[in-house]
Amino acid sequence: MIAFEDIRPNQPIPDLVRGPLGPPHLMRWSSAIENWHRIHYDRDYATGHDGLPDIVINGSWKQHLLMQLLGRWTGDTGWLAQLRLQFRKMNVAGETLTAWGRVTGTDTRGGYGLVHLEVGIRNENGVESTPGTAEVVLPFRGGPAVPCPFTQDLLAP
Amino acid sequence: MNAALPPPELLARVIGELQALIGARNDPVFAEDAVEASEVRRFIHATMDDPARYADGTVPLGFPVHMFRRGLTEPDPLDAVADKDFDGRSQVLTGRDFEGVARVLRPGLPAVEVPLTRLLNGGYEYLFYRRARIGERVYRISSYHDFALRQGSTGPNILVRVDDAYFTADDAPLLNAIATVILR
Repeated sequence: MIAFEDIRPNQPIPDLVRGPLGPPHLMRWSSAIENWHRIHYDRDYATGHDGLPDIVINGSWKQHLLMQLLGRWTGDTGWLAQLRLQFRKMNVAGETLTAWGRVTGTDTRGGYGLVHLEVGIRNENGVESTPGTAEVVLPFRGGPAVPCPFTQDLLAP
Repeated sequence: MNAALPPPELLARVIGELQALIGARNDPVFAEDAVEASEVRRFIHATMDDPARYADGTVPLGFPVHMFRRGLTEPDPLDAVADKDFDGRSQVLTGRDFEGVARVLRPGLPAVEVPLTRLLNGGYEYLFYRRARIGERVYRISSYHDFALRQGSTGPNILVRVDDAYFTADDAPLLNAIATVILR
């Protein structure tokens, strides 16, 4: 169980690694959310019509990788309050993706700990595709539990 | 520069027209189905998440974003699959063309009419309140957050930011997502 006192400046959080991600993984995601965008499952279309290097790993899938990364780290005691991410580069079939995060700062708000993080997703060649930032709320050891539902007003200075 | 790109003065006029839409919002749109266990199971499998995290009947934080699917009696986007330009997305966004001129980004919001043919997902900004639970009904209210004209590496881009607020049927907030759509 993680508490705010455990957090150190520049501390990395545990990586989340997935892959190599092949066409079956992409097909499974497209099917799960009923996304028919052809660049995610039709290699001939993706490379021939759209000129892409291969079928593209969905941005919608990658965002959940970051939510999962942060949710696994905070566990049941913390709360992922805010997440911002940008799809700067595409990732394609065959890549192995590593979601990562690093503490960039801390604050306290109303009896809770607020952790600022830099997050991202890189492939096996170290190419970053999905930079972002996040705010996570953690309890103090022995302090009150983070409220659920969470109130974003708690983050106001 | 691509000769097919629209002239700058046209885009300047378009962005002015679009900015008049800032704040436009739709009526609540309910997801076709309640949060359903089989859908959640497939979602967790597809994201390679740990099922033990959801043993309490809650679902992944971002699950509600994907609950807004084609209704039982709505047109089939695959009806157009024989068309050589079928891309699987334009048909969902517009229901009628491949030209990328008028796009309905959310049901009930005014169409975004932009003479740029490509659409990219630029990213998201999320605020999270709580996880949805199996059996809950979810609705979404969308509004245009802002529009911007930017010069990208391949030409002009128009950035559309759509604010989606997700609630349970009894009006409990689940999450807010500002989606950035890049038209280029």
